[in-house]
Amino acid sequence: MVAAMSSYLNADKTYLTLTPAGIFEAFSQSEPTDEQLSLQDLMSYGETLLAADWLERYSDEWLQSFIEHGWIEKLSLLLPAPNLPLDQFLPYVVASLSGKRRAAIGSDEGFCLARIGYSQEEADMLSVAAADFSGFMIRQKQRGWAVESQAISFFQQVDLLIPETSFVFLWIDGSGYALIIDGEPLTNSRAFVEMVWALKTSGLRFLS
Amino acid sequence: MSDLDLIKENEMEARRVFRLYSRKVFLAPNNRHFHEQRINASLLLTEKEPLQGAVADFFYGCWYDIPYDVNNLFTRIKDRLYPHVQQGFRDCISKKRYIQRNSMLATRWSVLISPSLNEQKQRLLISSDDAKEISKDITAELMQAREDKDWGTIEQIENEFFAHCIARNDRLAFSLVWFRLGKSDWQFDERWNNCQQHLDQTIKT
Repeated sequence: MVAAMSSYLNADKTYLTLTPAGIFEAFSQSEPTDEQLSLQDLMSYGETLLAADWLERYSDEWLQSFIEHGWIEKLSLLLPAPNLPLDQFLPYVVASLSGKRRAAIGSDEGFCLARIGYSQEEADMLSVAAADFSGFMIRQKQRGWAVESQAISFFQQVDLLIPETSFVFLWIDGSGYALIIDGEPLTNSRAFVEMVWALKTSGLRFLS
Repeated sequence: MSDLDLIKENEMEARRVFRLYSRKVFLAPNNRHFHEQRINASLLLTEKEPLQGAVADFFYGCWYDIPYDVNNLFTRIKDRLYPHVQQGFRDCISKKRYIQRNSMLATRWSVLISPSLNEQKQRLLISSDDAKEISKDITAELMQAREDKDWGTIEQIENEFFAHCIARNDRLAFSLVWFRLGKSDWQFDERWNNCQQHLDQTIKT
């Protein structure tokens, strides 16, 4: 089976990366499953992983299932991970996730790590709020409410169509992050993948 | 209500309709009526990306219709698309290819498919819509600061802008701002050249 899939994939020449949906799946839980860890592995190196290398560690069935779910994209070329220091990269990348180009990244301890469009004061306030919501969701889960959600949105209009503010929660190597997005959230983007890739591989290198 | 307020209000309404039909398309990917309503809403927006994203979803969700029954719709919208995007959709109409789940034709506004990473040359972390908006804002801020003789602010805005261009590989915004400022005798110092060189190097690698 592995041989069949590998030859179908041309595993020695095909690289794998996560799609935006794959990022949500891989990094949504503070305690990821083995499958989620195998997805995270694709974002753990300085360049995209060859399918053959990934298949040495994980099962062919998983790969097939992940591709069917739309979590993995097969690439014909090798891509390097973003290598700019985070403080020179994150604010500008996170901007495209917001329809109003106003966004921030907060830590689960309530610190603002990057911001664009928001004032420092607004970003600090929202980062604290994000940490509160993250804690709230964890507590509800412990009480038995099966919160599988990875994001919260707040609306001002009754049609609940375009959110005012959204919080997207991600867990990377045991640390919680909240993306804070003003207006329409636009996470179905290459920038979203590259942002998480940068966070995962940077070792939190913030300064140049 | 001023004309400007009315334009903003109409655009906001178009965004709501676009989003409403985005949800419907997500729930019923093969419903052509929903796709068409969404495409109509996107035509009322100033950006090109929502339209491109909606058309890409339509071509994916209603793939069976595309080679046979899409010409009228495509004729109506094609001029709002970039030429290379238009060509991409034309290839689908003439059955040279189908849109895949990860596609260079998808945008961050798509809901059925995702933008592909399988393209190094187009590795832009910014959309052309955003680049144009940013260049407009930056130019206006810099011109205002020069009028106010606020040299500290000018340097700060310029540095922020260089950081943006390098982080997002935004050659489009850099060129647009350079061009607009150049028309008003802007004093470009060494930092502008450094930024340009950095962007040029990125192309070569």
